[in-house]
Amino acid sequence: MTFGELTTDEVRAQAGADGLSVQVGPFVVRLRTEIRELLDAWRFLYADFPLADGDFADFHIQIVPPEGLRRFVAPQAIFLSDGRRPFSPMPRSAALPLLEWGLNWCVASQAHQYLVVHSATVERGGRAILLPAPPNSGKSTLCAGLVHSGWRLLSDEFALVQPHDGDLVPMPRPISLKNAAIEVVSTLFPQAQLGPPARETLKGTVVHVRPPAASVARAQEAASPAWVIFPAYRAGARTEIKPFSKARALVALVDNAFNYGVLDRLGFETLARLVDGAACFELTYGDLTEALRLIGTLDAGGSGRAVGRPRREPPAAASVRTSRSGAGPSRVATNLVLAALRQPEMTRTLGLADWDLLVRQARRAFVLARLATRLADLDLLGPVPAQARLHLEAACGMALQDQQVARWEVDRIRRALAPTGVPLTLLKGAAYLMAELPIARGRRFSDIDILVPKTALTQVEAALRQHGWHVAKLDPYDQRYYRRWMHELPPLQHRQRWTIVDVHHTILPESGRLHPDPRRLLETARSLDGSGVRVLAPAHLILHSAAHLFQDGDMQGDLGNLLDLDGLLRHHGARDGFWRELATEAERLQLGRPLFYAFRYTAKLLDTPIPAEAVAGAGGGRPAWPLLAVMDRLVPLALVPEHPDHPERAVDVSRSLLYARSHWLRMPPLLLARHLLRKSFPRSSAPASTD
Amino acid sequence: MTTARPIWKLLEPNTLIWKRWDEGEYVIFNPASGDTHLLNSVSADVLTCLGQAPADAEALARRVASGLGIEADDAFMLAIEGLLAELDELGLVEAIRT
Repeated sequence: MTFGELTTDEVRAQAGADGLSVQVGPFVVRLRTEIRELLDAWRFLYADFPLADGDFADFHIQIVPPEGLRRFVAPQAIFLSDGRRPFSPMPRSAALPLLEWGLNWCVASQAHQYLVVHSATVERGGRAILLPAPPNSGKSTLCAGLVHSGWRLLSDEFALVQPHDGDLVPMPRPISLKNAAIEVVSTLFPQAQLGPPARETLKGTVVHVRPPAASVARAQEAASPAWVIFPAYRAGARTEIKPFSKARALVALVDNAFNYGVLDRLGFETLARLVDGAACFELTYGDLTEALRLIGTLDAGGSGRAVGRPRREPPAAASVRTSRSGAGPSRVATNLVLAALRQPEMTRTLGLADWDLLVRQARRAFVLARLATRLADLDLLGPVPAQARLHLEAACGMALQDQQVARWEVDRIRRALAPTGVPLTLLKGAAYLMAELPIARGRRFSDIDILVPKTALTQVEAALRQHGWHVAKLDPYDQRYYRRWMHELPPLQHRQRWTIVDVHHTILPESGRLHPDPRRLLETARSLDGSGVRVLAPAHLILHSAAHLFQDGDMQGDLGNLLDLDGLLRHHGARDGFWRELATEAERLQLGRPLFYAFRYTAKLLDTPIPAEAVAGAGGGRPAWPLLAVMDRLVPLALVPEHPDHPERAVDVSRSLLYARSHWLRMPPLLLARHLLRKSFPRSSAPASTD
Repeated sequence: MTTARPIWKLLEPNTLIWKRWDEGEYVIFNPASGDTHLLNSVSADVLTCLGQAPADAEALARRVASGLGIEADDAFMLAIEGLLAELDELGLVEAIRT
């Protein structure tokens, strides 16, 4: 059954309830929205697309109005996917482009079973053209022209390259035209079926061309790349096509690929093979008709080959299906991630619908790769339904890329600091990675944290600046705030690699209530053989992690941090004398309270085995019972991922309270009042010089 | 600070993946950084020479110039030193100070 065969009422009913599932190329997209004009437009553009079964979707998308008055005054639309909100709200009249751009974002950030290149792709006779280009290069105009001149639409947006054979997997979707291109295409090709215009988008007026039914019907047929043409539209320019060197074509494809780094060496090999087998050109055009004629002269024959989609498996017999509709699932049902992390064996019993929820929740809590790694270690990935396994494997790929980047950054920082003689001491994720601790596996990285003596800060910052790091955009107040009150320099970003290093001189803000002595941490740090770097002693790694989670943050989305603590305690806990050493160090560093919480919530939520005498030993950090009762209620709510489609009010309240708590712990009341006042009017004061 | 002329070596001698076509340009993939680099033939010669044995800039310039059939004059020397600094920044080579 196709989308177009549903009545308007059926479309609205499905999209307003569990969601409307459509097969778009190799992906199942589930859309939930109550915005009627969006549904009408989507139905027109996707009329020929098959509906998909409802158990598993690769991308869950919601387009919702904002809460409160904005629902009525200058109404807006918000894009959500698994609770994530990657874009700012847009005017409701731009809901369709927002949905299409959001779907692009889903593919580019998750579909790592393919090498995803920003490129239009079309095919004739089994031989495909890639048209890779940055935005505003005339790629879509050319694509629309080719599609209405006898070429089959594979995609207006992506080349999905299969690494194992280099073929292109089609994902035909509406072609997005902007501004002047709309008239060019509609004049030259009056048969093009255009959707409604959206006039208030960031890119001006946008109109979508409905993909030809014949292209949609052949969405399962892959094609071999035969030509790579880099287009550049220039108004009034002479239209010409020139050969392009394969080496340059390869590098330009790398520049246009979204997930080249995730695929690592396989990405390089895939593109090298693609370029090997294709003729490469650059096309400058000022005239669409002439450009189409020139491309037509390149054409030759060939035949398409079928591409297989992973077979849909029926749900396991023992499936514990969770509901997606009605009054909303219970909190227990939404703890699927926690259950899978605690008892990975239980995943054998999950059906496709359970996997659908588990993948989304784990992704939202930033622990999908950790879950995947844990399952792989226990040989439990095999039984996972193919559709879900692709997402788990993609997450592992992203984590491996993060780790490669982190290792390289550590090496670059080491190199930059070498002339200063200041020892490089790593904290948190980078320390776990370089010390090869088991918890580093599947862990994601956003930045590198290092610890240096406060007296060496100026020297270290100068050395890093000399090698390309700089203070990323921060206003003078923030800069001053960091340097006066925080435990670290403002984040330093590398100009070429965009990576961030946080240079700490202690582990908690100087303005806060606890002041662990960083000299103790540095004195006892351990050198790692052959790497030229050091990491904190095991007890200090744990205490820092606990302090970071329970003393310095609001715990939002911090299930990963709790997993760090769980992993560290399990890894080091078997060593003789470890628990006593941990208690002694906690007392020495004033970190008894965070350690108490670490014991309490790892044991409660992750079944971390902690000896009774260790728990008793941490009793000094136990808060008074009213506070503990509150924390017992708030912490699990903040750390355990909720159902992506059914956010709970209690979770919001809990996170707000923990957010307020984190500020209270960080600053004395007067400073907090001044800080909040300044943050309420972020642009009200004149720029001040940095200290 | 030492004033000795540094000896240069490839940072990851055996792991670089090379791709070459007939157009005199090379692409290399560095698995350590995940970076891909487009090289002209002089840069490729420099990396190839350093892959065979570490060398200082002067010896390297002489070897590369001889391969190209040109003279290793001061300008060429300076160009090689600049190139080494660039390759160092990219994490392809590193100096062993003596």
